[in-house]
Amino acid sequence: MNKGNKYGKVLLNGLITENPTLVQLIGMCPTLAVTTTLQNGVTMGIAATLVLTASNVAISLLRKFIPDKIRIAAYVVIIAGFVSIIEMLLKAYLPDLSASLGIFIPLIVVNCIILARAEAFASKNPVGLSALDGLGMGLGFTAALMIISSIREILGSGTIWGVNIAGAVTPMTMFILPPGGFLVLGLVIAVIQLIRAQHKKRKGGDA
Amino acid sequence: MAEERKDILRYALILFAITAVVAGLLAGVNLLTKETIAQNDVLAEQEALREVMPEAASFEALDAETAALYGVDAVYTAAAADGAAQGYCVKVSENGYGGVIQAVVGVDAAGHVSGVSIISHSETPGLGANIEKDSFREQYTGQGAVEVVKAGAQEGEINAVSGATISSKALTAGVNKAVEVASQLQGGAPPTPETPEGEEAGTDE
Repeated sequence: MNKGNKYGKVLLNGLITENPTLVQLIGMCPTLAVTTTLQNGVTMGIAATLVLTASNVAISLLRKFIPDKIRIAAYVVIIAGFVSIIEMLLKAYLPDLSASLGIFIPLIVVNCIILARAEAFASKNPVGLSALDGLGMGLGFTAALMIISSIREILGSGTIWGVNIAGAVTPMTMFILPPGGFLVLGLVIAVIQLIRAQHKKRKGGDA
Repeated sequence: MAEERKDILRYALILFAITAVVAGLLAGVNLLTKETIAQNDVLAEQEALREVMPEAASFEALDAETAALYGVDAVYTAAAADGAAQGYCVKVSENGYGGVIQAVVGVDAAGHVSGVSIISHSETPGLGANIEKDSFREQYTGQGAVEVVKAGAQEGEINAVSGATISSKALTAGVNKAVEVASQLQGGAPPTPETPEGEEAGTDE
């Protein structure tokens, strides 16, 4: 019971409490770059989740073998190796998916969420928990990308998942350009902080 | 001191072991997937060619030197199922607003564009990237060399993507280049002499 609770907490931690994008504010670069359409956001999120889970498992398995002093170099090699292998496998066996993922796969290498979780969690925790942490953080990243990209796609292109919903209304192109990305990201973070603050206040009142 | 030196050696060896294993894995996967990836690339290219010239049954690439002589990336001859020549498909690159736009243009035996397919571009999403839309690309079909206008295109003209005249002009320059190269190949004419490598010729303004 207690154990199940712990696993659930780790999963929820990444998804909500310590959402990498909206609370920890890491991985901002891919967040701003790919959230022009919902489809892009979801694809990037899922690809990052897979790599994050796999790299967390690998690093957790090797945590006793890798000395502290060279850990960062080792993590970078392992993560970059993973991503390259996935990229080659996708290109060979799922060429359509690989074409739509395009630039996202190499972008994952520089996604600091992955290195951050390797450093902060996987290097100190057993394999099962590390896998769950990767999954939770990945899904949290995906959820954040989905929120931001939906808003940007609706306002900036007048479409959602490529389907036109704005009719004859001219969309505000600015929202799919970089300034719109910063604006939406800032507003979404503000709303999340507001919800968190109120949640905390209510909790404090109860106790 | 000696202790420290031993540590450094140990770290170096461990890091070496990790990189060696990762490099080995990468080499293995590369070996496994290399052929399939090359096949997929060929298939994707054929797909693009078929899209710009649906009537043709087979395509054959001319050698790279010929393409370079005409200042384009690649040239393919298209043939119908009975072997009759159908025209040319030309792969061109032009500088757009955000980077190079690479496209394949099909030109039929009469010198009319049969289709345009964009292979890669880095134009602004929502603006220049709209050159990818069917509604824009279809404007070229059935025409020869064209001019870009802002609106109300007549014969021999196309409407620019609104807010993206540079991207529209860049793709049009590529299409016009393809039409020119195809007509030169058709007539057996040599490439335009004033075409030093990489620079396009015959596009006004």
